[in-house]
Amino acid sequence: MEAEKKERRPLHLAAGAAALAACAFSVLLSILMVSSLFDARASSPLARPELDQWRAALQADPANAAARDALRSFDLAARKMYFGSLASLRTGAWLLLGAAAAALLGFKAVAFYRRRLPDPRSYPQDEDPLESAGLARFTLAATGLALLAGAVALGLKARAGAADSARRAVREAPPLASAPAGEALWPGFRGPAGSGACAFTNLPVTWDVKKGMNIRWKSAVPLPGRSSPVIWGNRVFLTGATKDKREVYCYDLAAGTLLWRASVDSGACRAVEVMDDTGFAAPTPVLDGTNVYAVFANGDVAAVDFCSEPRWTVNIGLPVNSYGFASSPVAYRDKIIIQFDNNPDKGGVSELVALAKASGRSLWKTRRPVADSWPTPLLIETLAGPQLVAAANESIIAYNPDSGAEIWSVACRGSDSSPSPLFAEGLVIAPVTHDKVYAIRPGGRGDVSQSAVAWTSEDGVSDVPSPAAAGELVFLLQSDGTLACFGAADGKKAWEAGLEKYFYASPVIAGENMYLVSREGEVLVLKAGPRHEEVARASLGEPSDCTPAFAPGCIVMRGASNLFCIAVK
Amino acid sequence: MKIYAALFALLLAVLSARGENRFPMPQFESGYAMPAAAEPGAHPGLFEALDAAVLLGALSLAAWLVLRRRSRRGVLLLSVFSLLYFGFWRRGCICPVGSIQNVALWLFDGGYVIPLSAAAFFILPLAFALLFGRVFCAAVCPLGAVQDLVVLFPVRIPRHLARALGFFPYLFLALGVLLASAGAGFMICRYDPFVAFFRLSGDLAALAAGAALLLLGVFVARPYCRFMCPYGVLLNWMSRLSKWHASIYPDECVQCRLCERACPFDAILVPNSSLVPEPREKGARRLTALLALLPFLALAGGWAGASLDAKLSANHPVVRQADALKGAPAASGSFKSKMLESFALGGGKAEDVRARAAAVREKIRLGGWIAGGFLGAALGLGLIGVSIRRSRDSYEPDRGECLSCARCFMSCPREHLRLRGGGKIEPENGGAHGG
Amino acid sequence: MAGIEKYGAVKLVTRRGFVVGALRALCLTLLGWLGGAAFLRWKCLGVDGTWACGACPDRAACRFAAALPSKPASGRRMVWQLDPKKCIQCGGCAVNCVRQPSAVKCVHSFEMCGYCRLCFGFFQPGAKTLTSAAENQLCPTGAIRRKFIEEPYYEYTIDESLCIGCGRCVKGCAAFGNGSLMLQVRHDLCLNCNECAIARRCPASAFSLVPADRPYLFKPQAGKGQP
Repeated sequence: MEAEKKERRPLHLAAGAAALAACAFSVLLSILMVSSLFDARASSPLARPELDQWRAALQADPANAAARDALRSFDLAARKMYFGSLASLRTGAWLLLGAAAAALLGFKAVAFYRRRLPDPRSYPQDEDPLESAGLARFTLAATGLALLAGAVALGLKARAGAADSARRAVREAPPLASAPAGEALWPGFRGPAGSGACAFTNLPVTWDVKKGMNIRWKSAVPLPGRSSPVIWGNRVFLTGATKDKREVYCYDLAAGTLLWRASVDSGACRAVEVMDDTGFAAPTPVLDGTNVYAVFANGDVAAVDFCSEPRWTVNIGLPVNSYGFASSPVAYRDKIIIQFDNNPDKGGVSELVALAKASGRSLWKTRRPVADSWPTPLLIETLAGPQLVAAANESIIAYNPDSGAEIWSVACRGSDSSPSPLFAEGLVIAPVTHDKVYAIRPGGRGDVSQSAVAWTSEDGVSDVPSPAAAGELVFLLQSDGTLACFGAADGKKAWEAGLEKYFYASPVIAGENMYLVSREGEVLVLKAGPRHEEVARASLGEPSDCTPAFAPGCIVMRGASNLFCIAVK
Repeated sequence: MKIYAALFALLLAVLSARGENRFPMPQFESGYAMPAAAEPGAHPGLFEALDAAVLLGALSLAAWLVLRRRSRRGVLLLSVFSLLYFGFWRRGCICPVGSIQNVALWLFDGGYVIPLSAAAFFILPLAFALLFGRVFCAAVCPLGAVQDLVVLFPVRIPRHLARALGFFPYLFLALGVLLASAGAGFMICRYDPFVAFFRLSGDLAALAAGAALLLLGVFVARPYCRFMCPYGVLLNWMSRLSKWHASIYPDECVQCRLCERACPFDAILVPNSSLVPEPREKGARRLTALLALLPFLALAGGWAGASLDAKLSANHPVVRQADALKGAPAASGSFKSKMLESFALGGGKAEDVRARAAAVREKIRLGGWIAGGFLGAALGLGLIGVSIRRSRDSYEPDRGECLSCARCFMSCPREHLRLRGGGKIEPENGGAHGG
Repeated sequence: MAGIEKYGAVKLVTRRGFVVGALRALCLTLLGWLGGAAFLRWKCLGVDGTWACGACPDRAACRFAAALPSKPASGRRMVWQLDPKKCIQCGGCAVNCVRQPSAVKCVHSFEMCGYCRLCFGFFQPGAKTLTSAAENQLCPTGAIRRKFIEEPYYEYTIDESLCIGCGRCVKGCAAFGNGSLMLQVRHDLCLNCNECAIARRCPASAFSLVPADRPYLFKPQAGKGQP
């Protein structure tokens, strides 16, 4: 017995030592693995604020080589560390398993060598079964009742909490936003129907640019322009130009990031003179979901697709007019239609031009017996079919947009006519500067100056801003601040007010509110109703001549150097 | 006017590329061939059938090793095999413990079809337990195997404490079945402490909990099996009804007391026929009182369970969505704001979601009554079970608690006699009660 | 008691033994019924790919024999997959999977791709130069390879060994592109857990079980070509 014991001792010790060694190794390995795990977490590709900082620095200054190199080397190192630590965790797991198994075997061997024969004499006195049963009843009952009490307490608390939150829910029901159908939120100048109106109701009426109140974002626009923003889905498009450069910009509606800027040039290389007030990029681009079609002051027309690839660029001729080309293009089916009115005294030819959306090829051109003008044509759907209404100084003419043929015309005697017509209560309402406001029934053919004019008005004739209509009312704004409200069906003036500011931007209406952007950048919000009622005022902080665009929950406005997105925050 | 505006907008919307790609298909001129998206397939269904077959084989082998061969070494080797196959090779999923949830979901939700392997993993161990006792726990369950292998220095827990702790598996069973059947998630899988080891990767908290439990298991033998496993409750019941069961002695008990401390799980019951029982009236009075208490416990438990319906249903995906739709605004980037974003994308109606959430909550309330009642009844029956005295004149394993691990066999001198060729002694019905 | 039974004498059964035997028989029957029901329901595939009896319109007249399957065995196994139409690219797939890196990877459906030079899934929003420099790439692990095909088309392929399933490229592509990049569970990596850890934390509830022989849910293609 003793000899056997002595023989076993070295094995016993060896096993014990091996077990302890394996155990220590496992513990060490576990510590290493935990630290590796923390490494993997720290270098997680998903959270790297340093990269964001450097990227921001590069955005601000693209030539910052130090930031760029630091970013690249950090990125490489972090990626290596991440995948490396994952690999090391994998091997570590296997090693740990092996070490744990070895430790276990060692300890089992130790337990084996330490085993003793059982000796009942050494067993402690068994508990009295009655006492132990009683104790068991007590412990079991205590545990059970403790759990029960806990459950009851939780249940009562949950009941109380639920009643509370139900009360709160009734008070705080979220406002319902009216969502548009499709992505064509504001695809062209003055909105989807050309009347400057939309149905969104949850738009802010006041904001503060300096404090950032209700400003979702404010982004710089690289080149200046008077074109208004247009919106499709989650993208905002703008144009900007100088004498030599013409660019189209695309911004993210949610964050205001400049997604891309595309340079366009037809190569026609025509220098053009414009007035400062108009600029080189006055026409507002138009969208059709695939491309943005932009027109510039030198006659360049470009189609750029939504990921910045220029599709085609053509030049329709050098505009010849006093102020600079400003009429915005209109999209119809497979065509882009441009009202290209030029001064015949200076050798210009006025025509309505239709280009194919796919290629920029000219599909039809119709000569117009008018001089230079600046309105944007209006596309309307009548019972007799679609019509394109182009207003000018000498006449308001409606064309068939498929062929370019004239349908009807109304003679007028205006000059420097800028406001674009709109369609309200079944009538085409067109203010002709320095003449009258004409309201025309669009069902006629030929010269309908006597037969189809429902009403005219010599009051409220706007000179630059285009009118806006909501329900039965049409609002006409003059650049000196006189705002007149007429009944669209009968031409009866509801009210007139002097706003004591200068306006070039056209008024736009969202639900019950009308937004008027003054030249100095102060925006007035009035009720678009039968009484003059001011709702609020707010300032953009910079001059603005651009008409705002609406999207669900936000307004996009352009100032002289920045693009703003105003939304309830 | 509005009609024309709407028509125009509709025209534009229709003309716009809705339903079409924003960027049209490119026309390649250089003869470029577009690659197809790869679809790496899943493992073939063969593995599932293989798992069920291996399970059947292992259970049969375990039963034979425990009842016929009576070999601890065989049981140990089989448990190592089970650990390697069901644990590390099949990554511990699906396991019979989790299959309870699949069965619960299948029984209560018409929209779920149980995979055959889940059904097999649920039924086979229970069927074997009905016939042979808890041979599944002995050598086939990977969670049991890993705990069994680390039992080095077992410490005895006082019986009354073990009894009280033995209530927790009932709690986990009730909660697991309730939540799984209502579609609120598989709690048993979520809180499985060993699956992270089998996968060799996982959440740090899960790994730490598993390690802690294994460390505890070095001293307190098989803590998960005895105090947490919900499947163990079912096996316990089945095993009590089993036709054959592991017995310490191969033929008869000579009351030598040598096996008294042989079970690390303290499942050996000592003979008590020689002890003086308490007066019959006292015992009868107590029993009557407990029986009378039983329905009240069940009712109290049911009421408590039903009152917890809000808390229990909070994890159900539909209820979570309905909660997210309640008034309070969500912080940007929070889970709630993401739920709202996806809800807006899906274009559902808030009233529908609320109605469905209310239906779920009602279902859980009803289930809470049942689960709570079950727990109350379990408590009451447990109290009664402690108070009932069954006369024994030999050392026997507790039929419900014994895990059939075969450790106690070698402490019996009759077993040694059998092994040394003292004649093949047929066991009498494996030590069933009777006669 | 040992010797008596050998000679065909009546086997004595106690009351307790009888009750136990009866309960045992009952339990065995229940288990057998459960197994049979599972097996038979497993065999019925109902109508055209619906997997659940609850959703089957023929349930009232259900005849198991008449509904014997014609599909191969692998079709009956269900695996996890996410629906890219419901996905909001929250980034949870990369974080919640029990495997690291995740078994969810970005998949590129080339038929839907516009092959744009300015790929909104590849480039950071507002990237000034269109190169694959680290500062311009959206993918945090550089798993997208950009290759020039012909003017102005570029091919974008995903290196799955580097992809962690964070969905940033998917978000960009879905917001501004064609949506040809999408997240999908890769079944050569997925462990097919009983309860998918990503599924239960998906805010869009985009995960569901699909038959293992059709385990991918690519988006249906939009119309090809110009409108």
